[in-house]
Amino acid sequence: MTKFDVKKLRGLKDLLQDAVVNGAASIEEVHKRTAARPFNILGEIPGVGDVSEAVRAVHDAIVTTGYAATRAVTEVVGAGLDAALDVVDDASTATAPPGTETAGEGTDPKSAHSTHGE
Amino acid sequence: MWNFGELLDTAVAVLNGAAGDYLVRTNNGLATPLTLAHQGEELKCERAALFNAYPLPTGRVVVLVHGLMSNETIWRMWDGSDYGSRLHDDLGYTPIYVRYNSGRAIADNGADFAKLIESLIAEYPVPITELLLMGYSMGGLVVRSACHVAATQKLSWLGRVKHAIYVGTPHRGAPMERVGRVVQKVLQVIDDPYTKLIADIANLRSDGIKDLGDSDIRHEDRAKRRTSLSLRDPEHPVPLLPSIQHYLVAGVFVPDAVAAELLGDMMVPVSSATNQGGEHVKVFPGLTHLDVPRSPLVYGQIKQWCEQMPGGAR
Repeated sequence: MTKFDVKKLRGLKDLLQDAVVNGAASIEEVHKRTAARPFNILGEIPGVGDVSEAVRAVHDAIVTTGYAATRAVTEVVGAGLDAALDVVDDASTATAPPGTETAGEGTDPKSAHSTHGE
Repeated sequence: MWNFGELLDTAVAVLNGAAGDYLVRTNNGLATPLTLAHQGEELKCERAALFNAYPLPTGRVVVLVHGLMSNETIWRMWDGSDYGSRLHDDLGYTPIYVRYNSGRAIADNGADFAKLIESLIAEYPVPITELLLMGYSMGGLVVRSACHVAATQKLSWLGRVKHAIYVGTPHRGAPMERVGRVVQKVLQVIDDPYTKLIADIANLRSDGIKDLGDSDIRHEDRAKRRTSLSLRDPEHPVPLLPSIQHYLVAGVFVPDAVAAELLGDMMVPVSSATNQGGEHVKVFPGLTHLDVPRSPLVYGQIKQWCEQMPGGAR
């Protein structure tokens, strides 16, 4: 059986972290572009444009802060998990018996998949 | 029955197929390197490790290369055997399995596969007298890409390959990927944040998947694709190597002739899997794309072909 080792666990952590960080950036972009439509229309109306620009600035600032916070929290959690994985990695390296890196036991070729299905 | 380790391996294989190029770019530990595989583990291509895995090696070797989003378990039949182990029992071939990141460009996997075979020739415990290459789906294109690399770089192992078997390989591309490419381009030009987001997500599919559209086995073919949006089967710019005899297997799932031509085994059209006909071509009615790498019927044909090869019957 293949070990789901620390390298792969770290890879999974990195992937989830990337998904949240990049996903938040994409959603932020969609959020801002969607909000820009009514603000652009309001900006064309005399007497309302200035007010709408001010509201837009506040809106964009809040949006940016919100998504930045999501990314920051994800990065902090990711760094914490990295530290935990480092500890596990060090511990497993220290306790691993010699020769654990070698490939499978000697078998006849036809039993290449003999463990499958059991 | 599956065990937990195999399920994880399968999940990683699917992830590699979907986003393997991204995993490599970001140096992610889930990216699967191209290696030999034995009993679910990486097998180092070194003499001692090979001898340990194959204590009774034979000079006839069959190398099996899996397809997109899968690993070597895709070959396994209901009784735990596969085409490789059956060829061992029936004709004395030593089956060697390859595992790789199917989300990378086919050209990259082909180049690595060519290097791996070079190492295998050098490290295999006994002289390899016959090297039979067998690829399923994308694996067949990896085989073709590696042979192209070997021919270009004049690698010596190519001289030992007399026969190659392709099982459900899209030699002339996969229309589904080409349709996806067009839809993504259309979504991208619409000035709407939501459709652009969908287009961006669609564009996240891996290099390996994109290569299947036109069966791009060289980097120069991939570069040309950026300007091509044709839905038609492309004329492949790299012909099958004339120094090798090629054997092609296709599945056809739907009974209607026209639908069968379009859908084939539900993933690859018949004309693509058979490379529009040839001397050694067999079409199997009733088999889907997931059936063709593990069907007793297909194995029967493969065995028959192998027996007819010079020095084939044991």
